[in-house]
Amino acid sequence: MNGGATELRQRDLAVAMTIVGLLLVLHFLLHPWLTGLPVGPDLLVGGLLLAALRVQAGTAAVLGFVLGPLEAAMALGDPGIYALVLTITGYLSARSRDVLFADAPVFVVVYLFIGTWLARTALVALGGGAGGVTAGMLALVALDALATAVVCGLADALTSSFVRRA
Amino acid sequence: MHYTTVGQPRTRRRDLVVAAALSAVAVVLSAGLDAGGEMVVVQTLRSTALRPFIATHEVFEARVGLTARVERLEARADSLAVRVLATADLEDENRQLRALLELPGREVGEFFVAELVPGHTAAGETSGFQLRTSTGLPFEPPLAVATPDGLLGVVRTARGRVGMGEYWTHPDFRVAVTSSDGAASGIVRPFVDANGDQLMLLQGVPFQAEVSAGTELVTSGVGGIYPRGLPVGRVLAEHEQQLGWTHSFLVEPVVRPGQQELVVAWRPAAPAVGPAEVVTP
Repeated sequence: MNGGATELRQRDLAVAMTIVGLLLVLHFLLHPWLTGLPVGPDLLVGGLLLAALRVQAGTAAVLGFVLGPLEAAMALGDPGIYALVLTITGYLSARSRDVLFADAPVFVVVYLFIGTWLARTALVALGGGAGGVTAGMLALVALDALATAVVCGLADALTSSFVRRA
Repeated sequence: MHYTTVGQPRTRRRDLVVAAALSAVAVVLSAGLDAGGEMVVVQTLRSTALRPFIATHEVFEARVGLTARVERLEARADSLAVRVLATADLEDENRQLRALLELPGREVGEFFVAELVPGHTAAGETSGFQLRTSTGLPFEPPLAVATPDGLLGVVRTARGRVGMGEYWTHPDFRVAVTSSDGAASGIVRPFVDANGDQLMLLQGVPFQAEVSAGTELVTSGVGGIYPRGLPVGRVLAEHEQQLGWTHSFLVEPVVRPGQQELVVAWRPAAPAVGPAEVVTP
């Protein structure tokens, strides 16, 4: 009875997850240059947050758990801390979507901004890296979160428009 | 576009269990792995899942930054040549004086050139790096790591010819130093000032010792991890922190973590093994 709708939904999901996959590939490919900029988008957290909009909370948690050690290997950081923060980010993002979500582009941008800001702040605080958490660091993290929200929000909008046209 | 896939209560419980179990594994991973274990995980991921990305970075950096890198290395080679010429005379003089005083030869350990690969993190500043030897020979940590300008960090774990190290900005980093005139000594650790600038803090300086701004600090060699005489930083001003009969000073580091490619690592000389002393009653 709902075969057409299910097929449409699966196609949407496939397109969206391809875009998320591309964001993650770009993140690792451009890693040294993106992290070298004073302010730059975090395509890993952005991709995870976008994926969490489309999958179950448990799947988002698994994705975060897999991506965490990969990011730690690039940063030469603690794999456990990265896995913990990104697992919780994936799970809470998917759950917050269930509770709060409104189907509006502005919401996605705000969601990406807050999600990235919280995840990055947690990584800085728990990672115990050089410098620790300072006011300047939090301001930079907020600017990074803004850049992430803009870039990933744009990717999401393009995906939506492509799916609507198809 | 369909974003919402609101879960059923049963699915939600399952999701919560999955997330909680994975978080627990992550906590165990973080608490249970020592530096060596972390290194195994990191190296395994870098040589498998991340290998295509890291290989791409290396190829790109090797091609694009070649001219700039050659210029930097040429400038460094020139400054090193000047330094070597200046110290050759001193070494000879030292040897002669030791011979006159009938002192044994001075064991200064072994310096070797290695490639430093900095960690890249989007979250805050990284304090970790990888060190690779070009000789192919494995090395034993701990190893002091320096640039021609001064101390950069320390390698604490190694596997084969790859080691994992920490810059001096790492919260656990400590090094024993002395002023270049030998009048004051203490321990240097990383310090972040109120503006968020990464500096060093010299602690444990005896209360009566005079340390003026601009004093150069070098490694004292105490502890055996760092060679004696490596520049560490310059004293900026006295810091308000006082511990007992000691005072502290803010220090401007001579080397900051960055994109150093080639560095010098130092391995202490192996302790001399002589014939066992026979004690007769």
